[in-house]
Amino acid sequence: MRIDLEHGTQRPLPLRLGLWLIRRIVGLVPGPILTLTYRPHLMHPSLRRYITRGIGASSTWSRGEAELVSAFISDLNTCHF
Amino acid sequence: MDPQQVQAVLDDWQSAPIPERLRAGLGLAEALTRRPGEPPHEALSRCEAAGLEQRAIEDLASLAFHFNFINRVADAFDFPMPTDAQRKRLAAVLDRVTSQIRSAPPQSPWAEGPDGILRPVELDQARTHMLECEAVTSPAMRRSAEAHTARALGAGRDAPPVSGPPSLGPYLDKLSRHAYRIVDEDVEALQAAGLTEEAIFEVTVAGAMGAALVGVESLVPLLESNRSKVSASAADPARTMR
Repeated sequence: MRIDLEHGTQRPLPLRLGLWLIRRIVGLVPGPILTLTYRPHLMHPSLRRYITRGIGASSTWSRGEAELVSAFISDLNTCHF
Repeated sequence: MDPQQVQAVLDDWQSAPIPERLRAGLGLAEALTRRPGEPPHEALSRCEAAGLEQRAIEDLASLAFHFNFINRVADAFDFPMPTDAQRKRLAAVLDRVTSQIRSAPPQSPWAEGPDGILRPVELDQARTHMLECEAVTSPAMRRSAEAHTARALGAGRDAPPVSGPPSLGPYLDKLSRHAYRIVDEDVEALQAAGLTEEAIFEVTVAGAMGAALVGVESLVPLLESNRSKVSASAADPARTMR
């Protein structure tokens, strides 16, 4: 990674513990989670609320449909992540 | 989702064997991603013809914003790719987490921002906060990064000159139009110009925000126009008979 998002100094302890747990379970902390938590004061809670509208349980799109849309958009953007 | 179905969509979404509702949603996602500065009249009409209700269209706009934002950040910072095993474990965690997330839609789905542009309320709050809060970089620098990428994609708004080192403008151009072309040297040039990792992060997310917003900003006025027509019909039922 070009920027060391793993070691943000502004993450409060509960957030650091949460990331530690994800790393233990998954084997890595995904970049989007690192992005939303690297400088947490920059990310208003409403950003998380907005982006979870499309992927959360209340979404009108199923989990599989949301994954397909995300893969489609990533492909349009030539993004391999 | 079935990997073969995903591949069929990536190969040709127009002819892939998927429900029309989903195809219409993909068409809107395609318009918001490929031609974000153009009002997506045709894609929206196709959604309506396929029976997509407004809520589904707004959720689709959320997905489009989300991935147009995170794809740019992923390419700029070169996120590591999870292995297949990590991906499976991550999917299991996300299943548990997302099944808990229930976000009620706001009463007023969109509002005019400080710059007079209609946006979803949460997104406007997030944008204003990201650009104006106290951080390593100045609000002027973040504002100019956000406006630069948005304008590069056709957003009709004022864009002040990029505030920052000369290497920042070309970096933001790549971030906006083809983030996958960002290479180590682009980020190293920003560091050599004196930007810290925190500063590079801040201008990158501000720039990704601007680029990802453009499609949503093109869509919302059309949705608002449809809503006004529906409200007018409800207020005067005779109008629908004329």
